[in-house]
Amino acid sequence: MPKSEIQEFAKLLIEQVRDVSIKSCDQALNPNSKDPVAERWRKAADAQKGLKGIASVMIPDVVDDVIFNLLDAIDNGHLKLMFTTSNGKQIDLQKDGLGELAGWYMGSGGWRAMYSRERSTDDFSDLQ
Amino acid sequence: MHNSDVYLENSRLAKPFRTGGHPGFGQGVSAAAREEELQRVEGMKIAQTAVQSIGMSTKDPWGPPISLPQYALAASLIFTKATNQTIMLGTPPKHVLSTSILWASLLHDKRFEQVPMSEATPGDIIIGSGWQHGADGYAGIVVDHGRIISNSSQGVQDNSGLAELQRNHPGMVLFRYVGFRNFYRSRQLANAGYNPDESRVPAGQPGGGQWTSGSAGAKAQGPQIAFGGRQASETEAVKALWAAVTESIKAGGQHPTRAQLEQFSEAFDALQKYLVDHGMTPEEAFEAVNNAVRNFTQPGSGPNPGSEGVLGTYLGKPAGADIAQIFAAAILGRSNVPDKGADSKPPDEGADAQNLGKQTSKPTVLKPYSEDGGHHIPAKKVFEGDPAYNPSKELAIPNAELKALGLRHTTITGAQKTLYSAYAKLGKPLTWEAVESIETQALVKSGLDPARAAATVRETIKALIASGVKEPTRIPWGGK
Repeated sequence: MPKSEIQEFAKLLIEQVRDVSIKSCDQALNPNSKDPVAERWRKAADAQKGLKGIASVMIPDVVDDVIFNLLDAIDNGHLKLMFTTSNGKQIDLQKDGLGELAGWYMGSGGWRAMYSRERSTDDFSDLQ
Repeated sequence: MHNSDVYLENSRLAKPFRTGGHPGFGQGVSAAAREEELQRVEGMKIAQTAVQSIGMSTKDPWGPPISLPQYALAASLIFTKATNQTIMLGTPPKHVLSTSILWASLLHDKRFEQVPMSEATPGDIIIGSGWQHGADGYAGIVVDHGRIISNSSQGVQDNSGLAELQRNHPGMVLFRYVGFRNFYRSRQLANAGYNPDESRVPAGQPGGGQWTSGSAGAKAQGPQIAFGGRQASETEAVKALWAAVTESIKAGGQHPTRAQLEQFSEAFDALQKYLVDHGMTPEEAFEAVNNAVRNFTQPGSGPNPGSEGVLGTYLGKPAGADIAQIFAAAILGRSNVPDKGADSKPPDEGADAQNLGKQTSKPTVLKPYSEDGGHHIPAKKVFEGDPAYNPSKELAIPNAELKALGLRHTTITGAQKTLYSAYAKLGKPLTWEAVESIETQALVKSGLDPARAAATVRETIKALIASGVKEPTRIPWGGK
């Protein structure tokens, strides 16, 4: 059994990231939601292209949601994490990230567009 | 004279709108071709309405000088009618029309479709958000081949070249009303309950609007007018007209809703119809109602001195005639514009005149963040460093409400980041107006009804100001 400090971290991680992400994704299953993710999932389901057709659309959205919520937990100080850079410098992710990490990840032209090699959907390109 | 199908307009400037479609429709041509023809013909009329509502002629592109507020209001009203969105009376002219909100609204309105800029025809609405090209926003109507009437941070223009726009601002969006056949479906006005024995308002009488001055109760026993689905006295109708104007300001603050404008239009409509039924020509009746509006909107006259000048204050004085003209343009379109999602839905004939101005959009449930978490509106980073801002006490859309409405924190935040980053690139300080626009768009992006999103954001900003927050302190995601 890990020590109590790790247990505390685990609890926060599950509550603030895993559970929040599941709830968030559940909201995309709301048939009345007009959120772009919800609409995309419904469209994929309507296309009747089987499990692969639906899952290939949902997987990146779910991953994005989980990472978003991890960063959001950091932004809001629920998870206080430090990052050690390649040159050994340590930074406080909440403080140095200005509480804006989640937005930088999710927004148009953000980290997904900058660094990801896998598929993703920019739902905000029309807002720029 | 009895005319059961009167359409209000400034006949000095315009020919009547066609009410029964265009000859030749459905005679051996394809549906697409018919729609195209409708767009070509009726789109021009929409454009004419926009131009004429500000006192211009489409035949005289250089026309009389345009004063910015009047045009901006005209465009706002016309767009308001088409989008269920609000106009922003009282804001500086360059912000009168929130192009970003308009854009978001049209995008989600199934009555409009986007068409390529290369296919622009008269009547099409062109919108450029400030985030797209470094301006405060641009909204225009194509009025004829290659020419656009527009308003932007550069001021009113009547000679914007379509080709130039396409070349310099390819990101702009063009919207077209879908289904002109329904758009121009004829709608008969309410039965005026005409009684030939009633004393008539003399035709051509210059003071046709005399009932608007002095005591509102002076003619309580006078002739009846069909209004709000029942017979109302002149006084009641005049009161309703007055209420529509004032409630648009009071209930909606600076943002009267489409419903309020339509209520106003109905009052205007009923009054003019009454006068026509009692011997006036439509032109004379228009002038009479014009006078009524002028009396109401100029300081020192009307039944409620002290507040009736509010509109005039917004527009500069004297403004009554201009306002009347603009309202007439609004009415001209309104009498044919179907309600959203119900093309042939009749107006709310059961509405009582006393209910005018009460159909405002309500905000979502809002609670202090400490109660149920949720999503801060506006983003809390906007007020970082302001000692009056307490993120746990400020209003947020609580988690339960987010769930009920199908809104997602993920999407709203992504939209906020995108919009604030874009705004930061403009190099301007962040204003309350910009915050309002950005936050509204962010909520709309996640699927909230635009009117409700706007009401929600306004409510939270109001609460912030009331709690002592003076102004935005920084632009998150790229700002200082």
